[in-house]
Amino acid sequence: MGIISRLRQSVSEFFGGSEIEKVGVYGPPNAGKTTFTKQLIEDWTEQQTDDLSASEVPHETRKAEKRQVDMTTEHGTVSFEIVDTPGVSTSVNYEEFVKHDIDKEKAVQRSQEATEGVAEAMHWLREDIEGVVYVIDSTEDPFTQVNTMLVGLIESRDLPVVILANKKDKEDANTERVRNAFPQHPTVPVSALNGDNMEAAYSQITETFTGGDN
Amino acid sequence: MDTQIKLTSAEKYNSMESAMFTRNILDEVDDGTIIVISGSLEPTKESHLIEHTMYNIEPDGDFSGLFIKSIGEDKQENNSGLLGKVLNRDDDTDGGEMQIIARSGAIEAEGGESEIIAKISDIQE
Repeated sequence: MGIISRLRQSVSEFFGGSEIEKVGVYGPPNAGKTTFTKQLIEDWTEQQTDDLSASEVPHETRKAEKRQVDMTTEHGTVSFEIVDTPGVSTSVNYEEFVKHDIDKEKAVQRSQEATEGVAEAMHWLREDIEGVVYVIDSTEDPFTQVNTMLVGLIESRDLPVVILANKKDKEDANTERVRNAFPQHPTVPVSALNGDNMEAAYSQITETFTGGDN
Repeated sequence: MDTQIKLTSAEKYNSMESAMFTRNILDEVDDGTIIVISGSLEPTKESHLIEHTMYNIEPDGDFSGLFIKSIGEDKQENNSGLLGKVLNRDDDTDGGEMQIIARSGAIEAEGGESEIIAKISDIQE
């Protein structure tokens, strides 16, 4: 642990830290969950992120990645394990990967891994996760089955949640549509890829996960 | 595989134990049934369904998962007013919503969502 992490840990311990120990990054495939998680880890830890792979191919993340993070903003300090989860979908078809120039054998293997990853992610959200960063691609319609089901599940468990309207840098982004879809939860427009407005996201995360707002 | 449309209520499924519920749905869609649920499944039930669907997918086989869609007056899409006709009743106990669950690809094979909703409407009449 580096000096900055030790300093953050000391601050966290001094202020009593956060009770939320496990935060899941959830959302549909290709929303930008891994890109956000990488940015957060780079901004708040000294850990390497080379093993976190993001791409335009759906289900690039097929196994959850977990990292310890200590985050301090004007709202306080939160210390949690962040879990970058595979994108949730109701179907997985290997032909989807073949379209991205992946050969059939690898595509089938990728499908198998993706199904296991989605199943695990669903299980954790019901049993394990204590807070959620929910990532939505703001160029897409937010009124999808997966989004309404997952947000409904988060609400049924009374979990604190921050919604990120990601990809705000895209020309066809509509972050207000995301905010209006789930007005009961704090929504922050960001571009995780460019690091745009991430400070506001961190501020909202600490506010929500220290019990300041949800 | 013959496609059948089954109309049922969310209460029936929501009152079932999760394992029985998921087995019930997966068996029915495996038989080619398109399930139309009046009302909404509880999110916990739906998450169990997705989890178990994932374990039943055969990556190289003919089951690649489920099509699940909610249609309702509080959703952005309401299929041009067909919902009211389909639900065909005055009470509002289910919030004017319905969910369609089928094997992935089954809806497209039947001509798309509008075609399915028109068929449901015909059944109701």
